[in-house]
Amino acid sequence: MGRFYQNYFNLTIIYVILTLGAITMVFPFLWMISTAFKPPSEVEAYPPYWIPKTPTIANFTEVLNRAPIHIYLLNTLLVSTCVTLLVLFFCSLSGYVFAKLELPGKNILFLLILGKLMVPFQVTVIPLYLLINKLGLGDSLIALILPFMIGAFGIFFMRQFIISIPDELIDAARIDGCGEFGIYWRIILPSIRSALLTLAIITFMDSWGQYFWPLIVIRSPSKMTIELGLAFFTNQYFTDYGPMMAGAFISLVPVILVFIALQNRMIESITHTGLKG
Amino acid sequence: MKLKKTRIKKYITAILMLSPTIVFFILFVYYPIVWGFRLSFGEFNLLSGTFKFVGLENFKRVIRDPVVLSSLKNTVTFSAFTVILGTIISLLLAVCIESIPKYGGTYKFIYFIPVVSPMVTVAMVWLWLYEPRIGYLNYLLSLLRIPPKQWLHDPSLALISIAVMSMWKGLGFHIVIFSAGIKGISKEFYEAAQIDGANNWQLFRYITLPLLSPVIAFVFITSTIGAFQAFTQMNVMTKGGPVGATKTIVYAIYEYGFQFYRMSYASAIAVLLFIIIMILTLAQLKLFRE
Repeated sequence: MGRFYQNYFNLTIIYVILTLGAITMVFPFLWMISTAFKPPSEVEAYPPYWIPKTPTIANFTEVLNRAPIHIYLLNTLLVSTCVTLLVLFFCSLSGYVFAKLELPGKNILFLLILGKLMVPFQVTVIPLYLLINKLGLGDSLIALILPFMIGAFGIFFMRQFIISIPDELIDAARIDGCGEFGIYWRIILPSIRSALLTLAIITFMDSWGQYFWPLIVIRSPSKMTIELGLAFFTNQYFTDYGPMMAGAFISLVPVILVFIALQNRMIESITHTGLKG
Repeated sequence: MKLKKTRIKKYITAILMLSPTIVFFILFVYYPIVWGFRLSFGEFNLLSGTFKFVGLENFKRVIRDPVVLSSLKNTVTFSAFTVILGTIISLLLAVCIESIPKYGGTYKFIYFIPVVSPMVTVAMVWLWLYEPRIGYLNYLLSLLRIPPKQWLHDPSLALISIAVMSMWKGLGFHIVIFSAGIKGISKEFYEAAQIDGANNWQLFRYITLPLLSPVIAFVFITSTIGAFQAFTQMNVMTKGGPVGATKTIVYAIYEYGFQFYRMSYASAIAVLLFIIIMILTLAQLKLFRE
């Protein structure tokens, strides 16, 4: 631990700075919660106050009446789960080939895959949109899954971990008559459990927060994800802050629960992989 | 002979296991990249599906288009603000976190909450904070006897307002990266410097800063690239307005491509973005290597 400044800086000042910063981090969310449980008259009250005088869940019923939030949530859950499972499977499978199997030209192939990381998504979004429509998948949940089912980063990440698995372990399984897929399934996957969890966390989070792509391909409300649906709601009722904050609250609860459950694990995953730039 | 056969069999297995990935990358990565470049050199009609090659015509128009130029300017302003200020503040906070004996983890957790929160949700919450009439920020200003501001409705303020929110959202991410970097610096450097009578500022300036420069370079590069792709918060909070004050490059791509359906023209802007991001990455890498 680099607690080198300890004796030199005034600790109190440091704690004050950090606490002020921490308040800045949470107060928008607390204000969101306070507003979500206020009746309209109290939302409009000025000067504003924190504790609702007559707490109510009217904003929640209101937002559910006007927008099918439960469908948005289900769609998002479905899409994010599918994307995550597909990414885990295909990236680890490819990572195994790149790390351990013989194939002429596999390094060039690997570089071609990594090349994707240099190209921003927005550069390919137009052709991707045309392609998805050509395949007849416009305005469908499949359109939200397909372009993200394998990631260059995921393959790279899996390869790094699989490469450190001892070859003797794999050879022993081969001698026992295990096929390559069997080795992948029974030996590789169990030994990279921790890396798989990391990849699962960042993929799921990333998929959950997607906005640009769903905005482009999804038209009908029944196919919307939670983020898209909420933005849609915000556009329509941009002065109704009570229901808006209730919607924001609903969308945040699953994320925060997962964050509390995984905490350091999640912080590590996201920062080690540099996903959120 | 038999050896050759088993080897070929090995290759076939490998190819089979890799085939979904190969197909995916051809179909969803390389085909769109090539197609995107091709689109930018032509005129594509979405309705009839016809394509006519026009050479550099789109690019000639793009670099004179006032909408594109102003979106470029907005993107640069936005990125400079979020990246420079965000890096300084997060570095400061990371040093603070690494200096305290206890609760470092708790602070990291709190600073990380906006990072894990989806952008749309965060943008909605800040929309409410920035509300001009009864919003909480103007209320706080009124306590300081400062007249209310039209945060998102004032063309000279809107972009900065969104930049402040975006910086706020990304702080925790950079703090955690910086504090991991600071932890990696050997304590002996500090002890030696302290024996030589170095003060806090000198410790920071001559030990932390130089040894952390690769990490700072990483944060600079990733956050600049991220900032250049900003779109969601603008789309939710201002729709690119007022009078285009918060329109970014990606917003211009979105507008031309998916609201006016001028796919070729939008592709030319996308190619421009691609080139800018390439140059940025190379320039920054070079800058920090020296």
